[in-house]
Amino acid sequence: MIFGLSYLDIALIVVIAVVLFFAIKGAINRKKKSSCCGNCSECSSCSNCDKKH
Amino acid sequence: MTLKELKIGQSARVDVVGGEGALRQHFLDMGVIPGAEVTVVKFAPMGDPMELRIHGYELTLRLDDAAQIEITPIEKKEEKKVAPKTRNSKHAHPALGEPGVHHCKGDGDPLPDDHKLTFALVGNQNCGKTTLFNRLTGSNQHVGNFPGVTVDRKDGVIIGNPNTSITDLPGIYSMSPYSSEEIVSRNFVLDSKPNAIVNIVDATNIDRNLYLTMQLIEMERPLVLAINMMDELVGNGGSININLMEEMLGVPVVPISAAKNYGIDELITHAIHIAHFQEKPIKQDFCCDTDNGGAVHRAIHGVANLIEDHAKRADIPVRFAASKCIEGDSDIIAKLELDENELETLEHLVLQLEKERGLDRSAAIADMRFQYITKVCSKCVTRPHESREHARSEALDKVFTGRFTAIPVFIAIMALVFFLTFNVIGAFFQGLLENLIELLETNVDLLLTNGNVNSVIHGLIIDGMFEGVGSVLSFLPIVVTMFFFLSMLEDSGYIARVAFFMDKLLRKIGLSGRSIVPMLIGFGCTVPAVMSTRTLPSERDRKMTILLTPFMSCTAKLPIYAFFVNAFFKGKGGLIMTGLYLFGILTGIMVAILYKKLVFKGEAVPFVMELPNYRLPSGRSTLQLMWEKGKDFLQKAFSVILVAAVVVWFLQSFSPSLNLVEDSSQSIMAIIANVIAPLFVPLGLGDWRICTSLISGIMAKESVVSVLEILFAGEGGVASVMTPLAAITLLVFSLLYTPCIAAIASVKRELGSKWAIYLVFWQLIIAWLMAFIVKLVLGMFL
Repeated sequence: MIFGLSYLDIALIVVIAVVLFFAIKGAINRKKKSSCCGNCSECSSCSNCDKKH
Repeated sequence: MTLKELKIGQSARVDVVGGEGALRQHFLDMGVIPGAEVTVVKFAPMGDPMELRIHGYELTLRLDDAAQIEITPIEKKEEKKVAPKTRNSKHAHPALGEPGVHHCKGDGDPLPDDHKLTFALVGNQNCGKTTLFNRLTGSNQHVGNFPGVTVDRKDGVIIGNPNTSITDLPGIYSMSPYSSEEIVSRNFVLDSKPNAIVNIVDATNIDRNLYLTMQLIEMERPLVLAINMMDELVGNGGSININLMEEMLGVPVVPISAAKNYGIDELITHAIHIAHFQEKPIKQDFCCDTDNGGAVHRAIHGVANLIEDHAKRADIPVRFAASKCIEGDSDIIAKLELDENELETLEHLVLQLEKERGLDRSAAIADMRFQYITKVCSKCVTRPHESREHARSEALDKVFTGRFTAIPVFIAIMALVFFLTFNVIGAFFQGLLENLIELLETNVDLLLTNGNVNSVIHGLIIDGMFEGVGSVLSFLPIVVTMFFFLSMLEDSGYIARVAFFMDKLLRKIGLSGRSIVPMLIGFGCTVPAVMSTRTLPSERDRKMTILLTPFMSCTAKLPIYAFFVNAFFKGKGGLIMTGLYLFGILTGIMVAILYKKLVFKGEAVPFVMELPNYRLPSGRSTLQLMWEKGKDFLQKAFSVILVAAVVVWFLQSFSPSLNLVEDSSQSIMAIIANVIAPLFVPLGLGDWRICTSLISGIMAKESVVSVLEILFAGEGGVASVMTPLAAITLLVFSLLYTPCIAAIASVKRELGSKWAIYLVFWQLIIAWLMAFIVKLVLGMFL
């Protein structure tokens, strides 16, 4: 037990953290995509857009 | 006599094309030029617009616009299917654009081997550009069967040639800018200067398609002509003498079938060769000193001499600039920076052209191009007999656009789509998925309980993640089914017909028939709907259509409706869903009338559109769209909605001092939501949990359901707290209030921040007012 948490709790926290990390990354990417100028398929390499991707 | 007065089945020759500005130029570019033969095919069910057959394709235009076209009625002769004399004649293959043979190498040096070759894929609307792009690059861009599916450019790498980049541009009819996507294409070719142009033309409608080719050849870029749909042409008894066409146009010509993957390798070889060796078109001079006294020929060459130095300075091809100066293209004239004398000389040259040719400037240039096209086609093209596709389309159109059948059939089709989506196919798979998610949730719950997992972590996994994501995930089948049907309607060519017969109705609310396309897409998702308005040629129509699209209930709102139907109105799902969709449309109509009277005064843009033949929707394309939409929904569920669910769970589980709360009314969320709750009290929705769900709906509409699931989980569900009247009020508010953040971003992108902010507040006001009215009215009965 560490800080009252079992090893299973800690393992679950790690899993949840990883899942949340990717979820937040995905949400940010969606936001980026939705604010792209739409002039190319690859938003990250878009040069026509005033957004800083 | 004007075109408006012509009866169904009658034919006429165009004498004068009236009107002015971009619209008139558009008519000319579509082939409505003096001397062209037109036949009236039919009138829309409400008598307007009309469908014409011209240059072998179907064009629709309004009676008001037809009234500006003067005609002389003629007896339509039975078209004889005579093959050109050159059909079997042996023409040496010019071998343009072929490896080992070089033509017109410019400075004689090929581009360096490591130079990245850039290509522009250019062609008319609905000629198969995106299908070819997918073949060339192996991409999965969505294709459809109505003009204007591609509204933005798409880049890709040609398969097997990593050092290349090809850009799929929106379909255009000419290099005269008429709508915003035409400007995108023209600017790309003019400014980005791709190493070569791949010009795709529809073999079954080659006359009109070659009009754009003539202008592209003037751009002095290496060009390869891909004649698409050759399988259809040959299958119907037609043929093209490729060698002769190549000789007459001075560019490599490759017959292909993008849909059947025929001729693609040969096209790639030619395209890469001309780009690498910078082989420009051999001829650009399509005017002739003997045609109609040579007036156009003299004018073009005179103007070319006059502006040559300016064109070189402005880096615009001289021949192209000369034609555009004569047509009066203000953009090009401004870029040339001609001085007063030159402008005056230009005007004199053009006046002389008009006097000698007996046609105005734009018509004279269009006529010259079509004359050359006629010459090319009469020598190279054996016309097919009426294609199976066209005969089938005519037969189907008797029902789908028939005077008494069009609107009932449209209503029946839409009703069937909704019925199958919500009650049969979508609902069946939703049930299966719900059971699966429930099974998974129960087992995970059991495992966590047996493993004595900490209660906070347990709550986060079950009440936050599972409740939040699971409640939304089960709607995946409904969303995918809805997109399946929308894709079928679009791919078959039916949506173009809907635009045709709805034009008169939409004009009453200040819109054009073309606005129906974004509106129908809006039933799927507001984001592509907003983007698809780029095909609308007027800024007024674009703005108005964009601002009305959120009234078309998108699929993301379906989980909200289904959630409340399950909780309050079991067995009345069809009635409630249909009622909500109709209520959204009716509110949209009322708002449109308001816009027309107060904000967007004036008339809708003219309705000039090509009606494509019906085609069997491609299974690959439909499955691809369903996969894309399904993937997008899953990504949203596991990103935005998962994060929102966890944030909401956290805010409703902890107090401001970060202690776990027993009663969620003491939570951080309750404190925040209580600030705006008074605004919702008049609607009977003053509960902080409802306010929270509505706020989260701005991130993604599906979140409303997941948040309600989380917040009401401890009280036996939402039905134990709300009344059916409050549920209906909430449904109406959800239907109409501010669209999700992605939709707002797309509005901002298209119209700017001011309109996006306006949309957010306007939708809130409308939603509040309509919900209040519904509450008052229904309150008298419930």
